[in-house]
Amino acid sequence: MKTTKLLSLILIGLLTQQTFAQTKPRPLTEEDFYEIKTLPIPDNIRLEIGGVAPMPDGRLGVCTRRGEVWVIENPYQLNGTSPSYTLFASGLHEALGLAYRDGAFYCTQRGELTKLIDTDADGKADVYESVANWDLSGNYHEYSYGPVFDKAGDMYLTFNVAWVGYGEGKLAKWRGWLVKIKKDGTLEPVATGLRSPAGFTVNSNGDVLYGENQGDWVGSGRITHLEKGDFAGNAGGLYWTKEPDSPLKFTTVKDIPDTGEPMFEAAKKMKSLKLPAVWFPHALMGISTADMIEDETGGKFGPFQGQYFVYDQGQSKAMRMTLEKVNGKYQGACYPFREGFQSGTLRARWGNDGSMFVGQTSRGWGSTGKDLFGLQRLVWNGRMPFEMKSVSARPDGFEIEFTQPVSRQSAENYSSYELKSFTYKYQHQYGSPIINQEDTPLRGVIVSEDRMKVRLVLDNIRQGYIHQLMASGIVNDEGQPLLHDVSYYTLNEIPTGDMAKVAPRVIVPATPVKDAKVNAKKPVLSKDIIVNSKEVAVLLKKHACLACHAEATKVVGPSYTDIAKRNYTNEQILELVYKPKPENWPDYATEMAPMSHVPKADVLKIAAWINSLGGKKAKVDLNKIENRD
Amino acid sequence: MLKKLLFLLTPLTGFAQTQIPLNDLSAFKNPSTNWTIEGGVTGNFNAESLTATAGKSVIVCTIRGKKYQTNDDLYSVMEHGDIKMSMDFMIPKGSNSGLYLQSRYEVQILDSWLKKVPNDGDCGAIYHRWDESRGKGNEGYEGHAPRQNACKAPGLWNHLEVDFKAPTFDASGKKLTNARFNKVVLNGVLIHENIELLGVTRGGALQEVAKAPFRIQGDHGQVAFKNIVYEKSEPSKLTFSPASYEYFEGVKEGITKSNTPTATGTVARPTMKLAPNQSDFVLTFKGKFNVPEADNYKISCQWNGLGTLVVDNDTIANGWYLQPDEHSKIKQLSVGEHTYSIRYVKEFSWRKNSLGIFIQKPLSEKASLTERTSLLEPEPIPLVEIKTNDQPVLQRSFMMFGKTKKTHAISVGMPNGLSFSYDLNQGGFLHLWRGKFLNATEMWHDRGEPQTGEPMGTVVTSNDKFPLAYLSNADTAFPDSLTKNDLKYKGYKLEKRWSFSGEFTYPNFMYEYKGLKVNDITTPLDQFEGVNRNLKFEGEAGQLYALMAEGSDIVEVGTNRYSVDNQNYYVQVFPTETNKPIVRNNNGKKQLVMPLNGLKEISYHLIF
Repeated sequence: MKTTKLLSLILIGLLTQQTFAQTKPRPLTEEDFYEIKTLPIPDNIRLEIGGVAPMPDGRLGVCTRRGEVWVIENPYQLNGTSPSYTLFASGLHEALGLAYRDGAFYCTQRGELTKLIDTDADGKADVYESVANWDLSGNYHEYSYGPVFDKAGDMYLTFNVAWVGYGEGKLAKWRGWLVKIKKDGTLEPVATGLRSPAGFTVNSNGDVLYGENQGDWVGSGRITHLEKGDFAGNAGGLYWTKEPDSPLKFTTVKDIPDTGEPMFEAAKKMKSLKLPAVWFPHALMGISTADMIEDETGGKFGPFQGQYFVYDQGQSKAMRMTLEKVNGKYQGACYPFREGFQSGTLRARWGNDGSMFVGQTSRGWGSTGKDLFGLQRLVWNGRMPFEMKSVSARPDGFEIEFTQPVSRQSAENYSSYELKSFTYKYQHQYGSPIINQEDTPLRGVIVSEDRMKVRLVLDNIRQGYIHQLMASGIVNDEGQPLLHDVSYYTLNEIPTGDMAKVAPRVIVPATPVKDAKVNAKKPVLSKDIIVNSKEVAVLLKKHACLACHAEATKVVGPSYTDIAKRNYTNEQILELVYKPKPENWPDYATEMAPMSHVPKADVLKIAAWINSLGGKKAKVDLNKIENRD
Repeated sequence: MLKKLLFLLTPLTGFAQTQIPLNDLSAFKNPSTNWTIEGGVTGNFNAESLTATAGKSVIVCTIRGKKYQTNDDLYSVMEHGDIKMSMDFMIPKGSNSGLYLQSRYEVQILDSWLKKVPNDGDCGAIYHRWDESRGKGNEGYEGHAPRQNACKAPGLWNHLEVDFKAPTFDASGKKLTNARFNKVVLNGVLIHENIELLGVTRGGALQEVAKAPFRIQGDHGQVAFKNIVYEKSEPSKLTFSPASYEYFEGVKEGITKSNTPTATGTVARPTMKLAPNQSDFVLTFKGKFNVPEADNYKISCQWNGLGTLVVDNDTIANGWYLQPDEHSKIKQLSVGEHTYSIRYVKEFSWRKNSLGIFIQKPLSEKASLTERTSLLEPEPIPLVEIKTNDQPVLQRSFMMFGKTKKTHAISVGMPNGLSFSYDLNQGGFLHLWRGKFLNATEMWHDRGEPQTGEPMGTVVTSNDKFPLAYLSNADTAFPDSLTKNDLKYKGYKLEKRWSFSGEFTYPNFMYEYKGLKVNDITTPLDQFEGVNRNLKFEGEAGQLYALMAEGSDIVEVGTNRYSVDNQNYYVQVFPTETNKPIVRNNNGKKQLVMPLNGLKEISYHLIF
């Protein structure tokens, strides 16, 4: 991002001097369509936002992990004016969710859903009504989230399991559950299997969708549609199925096929196990799924009405999700959308003008955005980004709809696409490597008459798998590439219907391996690796390493410079990439997932580069480093 | 509470503490007639004298002749240098005493109750020095006010802990190092840490010495002491010769990859600083130390990594340790020279190099065999403090209550430093305290895994019991805790209350107890001597009782005023014509209960 900005500045500079004529359009960035506006926060306020609640009068309520509720006047900063902060309530216990309804705020603390009422109209709550309260064990990881109102006025809450080296639900009642708090305060357990459900929503159909964070029983981030009696995968909450009001029959961890096979396979053996509607591949998309919100702005936020925006706390970014119902069940795809927020993007809510407020915090959790907390607004400036608007399943492949007509030539070129499918293990261990990755060769491409849709006919589409659709070669009429060239479709169900009529597949010779240095016949000896930092930069991006690591700064994981200081051999790094040992880095909150799907040769190149960063030779030409092993 | 108060005296496990027997005055040199042994004392916060009861466990000073007669001061027979001491003291209203370490360095004892900002003459202060040549009004200097006022009301027991380091002198008597208060803790509140004293405080003998008795001021006012416990420590007399070292780069499974060291040499004391790498090395030392006195020495080791310590061919420690684990062995050491060898192996880099080895003679200072910086110190964590301001401050958190973590606790910090914590699940007080409000470091530093708030002042621990119960008669036991079915927490209202100092907003907690609607509000008393708890109830009160105090004893010290739980706090009650308080026994504890039949509310005061 930064380099492109800099580049464009240089280009503009050159153009104004008229010494150099640039005819090719500059590459467009997210910022050209969706602008991030930062709300200034008074110096003495630690706005570690856990909940965001826009008010109909144009003010904004936010609650914080330090237990405060602030009402912010003028949060839209019209005409460049400043917002003003008033402390509405305080003293709450790690408030991680806020809603505003009929003149009162509803706030979820660790152990209580609290209605905050200002009865004497002085702008401060004077009644802290306990709408419902529940047990806690005292484990820090028993975070409580919500409330989200449904149309009937009941409230949904989600309860994290405790963390005791694994997710444990039995320490306090209903941990690991989605619960409904009725207006009279009674608690109704709805579904379990939740691990760390920091974000969830009730969509316009009244359905509950919740986001899950990678961890034990969770190979990767994902979003699941929860219905009464569902089990979403993490065993922690099953303990409470022994209760008479549990909507699941009594189930224990022993009933789970804990074999490491894909969840899709496990679900065949365990009827209550609910498959996610959309997987968000770990690090390729996000690393810690947070809030989600349906686009109900009627076009005020761009061309994505009816779709969802899903935030990632660790990567300080928004992603996009589309859903369709196939055989009566939700499934769909995720897409990159907007990076570059200032801190950990935990919470998002629509403002009254169709912009989105994004509440942020990273204390103790880490995030790509460097600030400890922040409040920003994401605004569509009215320009149309060139995006895959949606991907939907077909009996023999997928159909991609675009936001602008595609160039027929680019869309019909097979080399514009990179298509494969993979999945994750379903197991009690933390996270999962990518498994069972296979190519899904293109058999045909059908471009619609208006060039807004492209139907991809594939060989080897696999039910239950995540299908990567990368279309980096596609351009629009202006020659611009897609703003984001990838999406991941979770194909739980293959729809029935007409097969596309395409010619038999033309076998195109495989593109030669560009990397001539790797000789496929001989095993790669790590000491022979010549460090090529440019090549490594490409690899780091390709394998999504940069999602969590940076060269010199702590992001979610340790910096490469810090890793270099550990003096691992290249082979040790390889081993640790394939089988991470989180205990080696006790100061980091997020465990690394095994990255065993990354080819060994690539890891060894990265490892050699990492080791070139270490030690006494501080400043070296990255292109001329000899390996120290 | 007790656990917290004893922390100063616990570090030297294995070595004995001495308690001064207070069944007679034999531990003291020629005590004046002011000093007597008594069975116990009680007081009242507005009474200028204490009341003694016959027996043997408390030493009491009563001014019988003229004040300010220094021969009324009490000197211990025991003489001390470095020492840790703890004791309980009680003074009546307006009284003044003091504990002089080595008869020279005074920790002030004074009725400073309710004083907002203490100075260097107040209770807990390290009293100032005195020099008349500085001119009138400027004689006092180099005193140290306590970090906060931690003293309790007159007539209650205070607990004082002192960790003192004596000055040291060379053979000619020239002072090498100053006296120092390593720590002074009053009523569980750390009020001084590592304060060096450049000379004696006012009233101390001017000549500083290595050893002297402790002294208690006995000529200013009434004072009582009990539970006087100490642990003396002599300076270490061990001496260490320079050590030789070898450093090997490269290690596999504890064995050096090469037999040739990368570096060798000698060093005054072993230190891990000789390893330039954080991993993949072996560092060995060989050296000698001299033991001037034979004894059973404690040899202790701390390191990150794999290590072996051998002393005189005896393996003291051998293993893979991580700080702060400490591994030690008691070893008999004869007079003379002893050899040691250290092997320090590190095959990982996720903890920093750290190596600390210590040798300690019983009742002596711990001598470090390794260089001072070889053992890493823990990284200091910045304090996150919640302060009260012009209005009461509320904060929910987890809170430790004894060994139990209360998950629905709220702390209320009121004006003038009065605070309480309250269990919303039980409607009971957890703690009441005076002083700074709440330490939120464990909540808001990093992820805040403990999520606990901690009182920062002088704490009185309460019982976490809902104060109302339906009892079949006045002898029925009060329930220890209530279920959610019996007691429903409904929330709280912030209510305005007027007082002489202004209008303040306090939480009124709302409950439903077996159909009874209860409002529970606690506010400070007018002079901030304590709190007034008011419970209003709507519903059937026929068999309703209030529990207002509970403890090892409950002694009536004034009209409707009781001193509770070994003079820990006072409770003031307000009987009516028909409703009188009852002190009763319950399960080995005393309880102060009152029937509420016919009443719609009850109030009582807690004073401390």
